[in-house]
Amino acid sequence: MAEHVPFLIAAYAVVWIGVLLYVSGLARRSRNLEREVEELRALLDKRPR
Amino acid sequence: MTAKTLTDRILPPATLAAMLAALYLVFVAVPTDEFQGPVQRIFYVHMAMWLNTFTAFAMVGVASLLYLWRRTPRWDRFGRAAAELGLLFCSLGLATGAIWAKPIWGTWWTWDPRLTLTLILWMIYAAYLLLRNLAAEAQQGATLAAVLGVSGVVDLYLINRAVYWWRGIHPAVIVNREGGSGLADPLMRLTLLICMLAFFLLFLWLLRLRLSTARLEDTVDHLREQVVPTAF
Repeated sequence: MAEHVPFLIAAYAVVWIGVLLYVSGLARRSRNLEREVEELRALLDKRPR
Repeated sequence: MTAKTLTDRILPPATLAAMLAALYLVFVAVPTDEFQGPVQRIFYVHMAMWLNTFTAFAMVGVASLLYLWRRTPRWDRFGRAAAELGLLFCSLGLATGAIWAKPIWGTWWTWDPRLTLTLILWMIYAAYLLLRNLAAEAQQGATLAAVLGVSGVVDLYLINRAVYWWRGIHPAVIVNREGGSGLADPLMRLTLLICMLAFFLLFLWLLRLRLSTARLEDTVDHLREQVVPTAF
């Protein structure tokens, strides 16, 4: 049964890699959106009222 | 201090502490199953993935119903955030299940009723998220997705009942077919509990992060609507 240990490691690795990829993708998305909000607000501020 | 900032302060360290405890229990403390050997330890994380998947998709169902009833963007935003997390944990649940199945069943995948229904569940919520990107109007996409979000809950119920209604090969471990628990050792039950708690806290933390991103997405859409008429 010791030959099955790589399966155990693979299962936990898949979970952690999956979560980390999701979190890094979410952080990138969030940064881009924050930048876009700032740009759009700046554009609206320039607009004549 | 508001409840929001208090949650933001407590949730990350609580998740980390529970996660460390779960890893210790899974890899050090819990006894090895005499029939399956070390691969049985996959079960703890596998179950945690399904707890999060079911919670997330049940949240999508409730949020979708409320959106169809009230038409408030807040419920659409909540459904969108929960669906994305549900899809993440469903994918990880399917992956950990396949990794467990290979040494135990001798195959990565089999068309067992519960597995097939779970794959359908994954497709339903993948479609839920895709619909939003494909719809010509955001509101139309949100409405169609909400209908799909509610219908997916039926599949959740079928998945839960599948091992009792149909004679598949997927084990019923928490409450087995004969009644009682499939986890003989009390430490195994404790490990499962802590592992599920740790990943549930992670889920709540990720949901908070995803909701704040969803709010930013809505702000961008709102600002774009204001900017576009002046741009042309």
